[in-house]
Amino acid sequence: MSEKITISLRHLEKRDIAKVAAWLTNEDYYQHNLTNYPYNNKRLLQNQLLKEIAVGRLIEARTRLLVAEANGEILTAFIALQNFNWQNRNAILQIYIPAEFRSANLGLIIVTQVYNYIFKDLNLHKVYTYVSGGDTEKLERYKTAKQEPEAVLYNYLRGADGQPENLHIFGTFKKDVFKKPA
Amino acid sequence: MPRLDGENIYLESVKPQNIALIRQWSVKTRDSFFLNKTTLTVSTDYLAMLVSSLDHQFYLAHNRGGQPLGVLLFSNIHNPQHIAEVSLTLQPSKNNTKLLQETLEVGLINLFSKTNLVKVYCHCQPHELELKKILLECFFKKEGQLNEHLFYNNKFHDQEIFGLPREDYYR
Repeated sequence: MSEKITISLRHLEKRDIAKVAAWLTNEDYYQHNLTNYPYNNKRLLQNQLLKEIAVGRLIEARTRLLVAEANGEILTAFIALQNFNWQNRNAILQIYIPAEFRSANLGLIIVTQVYNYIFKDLNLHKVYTYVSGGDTEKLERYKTAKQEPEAVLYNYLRGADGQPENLHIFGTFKKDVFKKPA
Repeated sequence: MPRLDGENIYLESVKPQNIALIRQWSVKTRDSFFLNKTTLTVSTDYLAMLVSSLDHQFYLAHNRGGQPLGVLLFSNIHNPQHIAEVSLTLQPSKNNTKLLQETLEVGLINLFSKTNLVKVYCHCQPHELELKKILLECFFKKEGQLNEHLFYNNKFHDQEIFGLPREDYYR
């Protein structure tokens, strides 16, 4: 008998830190995400998350951290909205879904919830996603969806092997997410 | 910071007494220098922060007669990736191509020789043709365009990104 799964978003809280810190110090996270979090120092990472939770409560906070929860119990994704620019109404989005929760349906539901939050609740105009040139899997997905990067910053990053990598910047507009089908 | 001399211009560090003049320019113009960071009319606090910040090099450009012409700002000089940003403006905004180019070149020569930065970026708007021409003359390359990135005058405007790697400049 299949059980109905409800996904809801909420702000990251102190009780989630242990779980989220375990995700963010995992190699899987670093292979697929660009981050400034100190991945090799769990204590430092936990302190940074605590600080961001506190600062994120401010109305004009530049960072908001969220989690997706299945049926109000199980954490299934970590969402970071960073570099909020309230004047220009844009931000940088990062969604991390651990391997055990990665399925097409769940991912789609989480992304839909996130876009609703960003574009309806926060009323942002645009959101950016940063992808490393070394993350060929993700770039291939964008290519399949026929989405071109708005900018490619050459040799902006250093890969794990120390080699320079490009930074691809993709933009998603509110009007494109909510456009009515023809 | 020492004075930087060019053929027709010289650069001096912005002092607190120059802030009022720079604010006046920001009221009259929509150059990307004043739009990149936060507000349309750049605040006194923001300019004061730039003057005292170790992570910025903030210069006032003068002509040989000592008349202030504009500003040049290098930001994020000490970031761990060794990538900085430059923004500049001369007032009035048009017909200053030679002086604008000289201002940028003098600033870049000093920046690359005194720091270990590997790349410099400049963000400008599509209508700033003079600035874009100068960036290309100084070997910047366009790396992208962020559509509808800036909001002012009740509508969204694009922003172009130009990058200059250190090795391209010295070549």
